[in-house]
Amino acid sequence: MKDGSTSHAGSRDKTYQAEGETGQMLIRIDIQRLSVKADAGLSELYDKFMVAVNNDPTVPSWIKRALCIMLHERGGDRFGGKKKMIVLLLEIALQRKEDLCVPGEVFQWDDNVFIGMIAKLKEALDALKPLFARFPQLEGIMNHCSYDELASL
Amino acid sequence: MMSWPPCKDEDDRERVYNKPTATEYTGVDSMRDAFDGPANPNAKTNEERYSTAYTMRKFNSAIEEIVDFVLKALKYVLSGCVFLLDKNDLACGKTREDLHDILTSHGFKKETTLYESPNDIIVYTKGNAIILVHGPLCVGGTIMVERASLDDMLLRCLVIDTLRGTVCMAKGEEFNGPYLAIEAGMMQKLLVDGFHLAREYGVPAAFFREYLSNSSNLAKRLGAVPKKVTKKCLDSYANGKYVHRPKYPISQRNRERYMSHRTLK
Repeated sequence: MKDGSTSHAGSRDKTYQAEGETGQMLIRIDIQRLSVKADAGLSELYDKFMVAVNNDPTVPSWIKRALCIMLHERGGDRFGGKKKMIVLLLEIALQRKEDLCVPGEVFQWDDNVFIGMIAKLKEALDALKPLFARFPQLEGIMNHCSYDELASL
Repeated sequence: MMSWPPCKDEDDRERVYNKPTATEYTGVDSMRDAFDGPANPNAKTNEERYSTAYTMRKFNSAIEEIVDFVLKALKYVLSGCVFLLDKNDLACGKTREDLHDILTSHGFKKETTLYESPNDIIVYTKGNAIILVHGPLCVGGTIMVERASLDDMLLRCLVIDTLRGTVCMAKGEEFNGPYLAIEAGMMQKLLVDGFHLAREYGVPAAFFREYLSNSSNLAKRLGAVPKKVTKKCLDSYANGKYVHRPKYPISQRNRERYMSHRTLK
């Protein structure tokens, strides 16, 4: 099994390959093309595949988590397009998403977006710290939600 | 008290919903809801299932529930408690009530506002009771861009993680990630932008729920929680035809607390 090997120095070519008891899956990404081939259930190859991805420092942690969810999904490839999404996720990891984006709805992945949100969150919690500091230990946390018309499809 | 009363989907018993998943992810101890059931208990289509066509009586009842919630918060003015309160725009809008007025009329003072509307968190306090008013958390998992923009979705995920951080803070715990709601937001946006196929099949929202439920042990799919245990509801349960049993991915602990709350009431 190859762990996200590069085909030659300096390129972004990636090949992930995993073999299971009933077959194998190969995901290849290079500058020219993307391809995914699998002749076994993805879930059967989950562990081996994730080892490869987890050991790849170029894959952001949230993408690793998404891959984990994707590959571990119950019911197999019930949504269809799972392979395409795996390719997309790896593509993002390689910072080559531009070619796949839909004009007008382009979301340029940038680590700064994620980091910026975390910074916002921490800033917000810091703002609340003095508020909580003046209270004694709280007895509980309660929630009140409303119905709203947004369907969670 | 749990919220989100869409009509039960007979054809998809495994279906889970964004709001209870996101709500439990925040770490709250108990949940309740303003409405006592879906607007259309006999819904067949998705549109009917999520209908907001409540009667004015139901809307007024929802406001009463909110006031009751605020009154409950008042009991913690000395001992202290954090309450998360949905803005309830639907009920407030229909009844022309103002949530701010409801809170201030009961002595709560607006302390601060985090972020910007509609993805803001407004902090009210009275004594040691804290109420955090926020928008519907399910928006964090919606990909219906005609109803909520992708930016709103992402920022609502920020709100969800902020609420989780606040709850952690209230419990005396540090919150240093993982920031699962934000991660899920990034993932949804990525998938929606990258593949319309993904949006069509609802995969991004599925990611949202998987991200959040994994963190709080919801993946076990512990089953349904009736939203309000009325006699009618129980009868309908017994008859096996009622609506209050969607497959909410709610933990056993919260289910017990929820049931306990309803029983006591």
